Amino acid sequence: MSPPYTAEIRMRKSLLLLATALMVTLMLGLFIGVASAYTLLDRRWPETLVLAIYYYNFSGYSEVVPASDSWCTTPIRPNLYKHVHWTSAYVFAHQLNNPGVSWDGATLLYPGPSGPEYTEADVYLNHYYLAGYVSEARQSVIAHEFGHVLGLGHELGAVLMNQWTFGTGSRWGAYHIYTRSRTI
Amino acid sequence: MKKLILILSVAAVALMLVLASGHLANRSSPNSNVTIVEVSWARGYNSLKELATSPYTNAIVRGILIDAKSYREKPQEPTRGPGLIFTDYLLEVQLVVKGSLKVSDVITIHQTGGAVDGETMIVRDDPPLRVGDTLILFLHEYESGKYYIEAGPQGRFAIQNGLAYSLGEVYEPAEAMTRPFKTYGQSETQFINSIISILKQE
Repeated sequence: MSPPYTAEIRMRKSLLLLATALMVTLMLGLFIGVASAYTLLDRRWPETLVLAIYYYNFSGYSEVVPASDSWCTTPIRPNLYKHVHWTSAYVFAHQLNNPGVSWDGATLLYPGPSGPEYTEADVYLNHYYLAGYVSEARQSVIAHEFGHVLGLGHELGAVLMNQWTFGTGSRWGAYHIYTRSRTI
Repeated sequence: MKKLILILSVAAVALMLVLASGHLANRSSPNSNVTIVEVSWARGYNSLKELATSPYTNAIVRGILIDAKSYREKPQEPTRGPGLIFTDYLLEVQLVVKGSLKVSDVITIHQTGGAVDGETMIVRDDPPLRVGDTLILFLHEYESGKYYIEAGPQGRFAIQNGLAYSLGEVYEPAEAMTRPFKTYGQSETQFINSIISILKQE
């Protein structure tokens, strides 16, 4: 039979091992960074705002509602120009036709005058590119921009917040990502 | 034993703090007069070879930015903000690596972002160019004499003291979007020769 102090030594060894494991994890967290499925931008929306998205000058992308499905259980239902109420619309989406840029979608988030929170946003969808995309690629861009509206930053890999639409390692061209959880 | 428990407690608390801070990793807060633009790039490249040989890369040049003019483009329909800002830079070509441009040609480089009426607009991945910068640019001609940088941040390399730098090294607050072909302080001559070598292989 082992002497009584052997159990204590074992306990100490176990605790030491546990402490070492925790410290190693801590160091990894400090120097490697935490892997996460998303990166947040610098601000948030206040809870009281309803993120209605209003659409202007659109020939009508049918991908808007399914794109919003990626982020909301209750899909965003974009309202048309004639239904705009400035007091309740905080996000406006626009179609532009700009061949002089290398982006197919852009989002501008505006903080309020007094607080650290976002209070308004504009989403620009570049029809110059989107017009030539297949439907899922178009949805991929729109869902990506809605991700920015919600305060998400870019990520590499097979995720909606991948910053490239086409090309090696791109969101749509390489990974066929066009919704948050589904690929083709 | 008490010491061990203390160490464990401190380590556990520190670990939780690290995990929490990592999960909520905020990007640097912009100045209130600075509007950050988040974009989706139409095309991205995985190597210098892909970028250099892309059919969208009409020209590869070394040049110096000699002038810039920013302006706001406000859509006709209502916007929540005042509209997008763009800047047209004039680039004097010093060396042609690809394309039909000639040395001393002056071309327009169109970039999203700039400063108008006290507001500065910056594309998060692709901060504004600066007059006086010497650059190696991979360009797409979208209109006669007018170019944009192919793939935004990926297609621009700054030259400083004879060394070529990709974005993320010299243009704060750029995100490191040039992966996986970062060029941090490579000899300019070596860098240009590597592009020429790639093009010769095609």
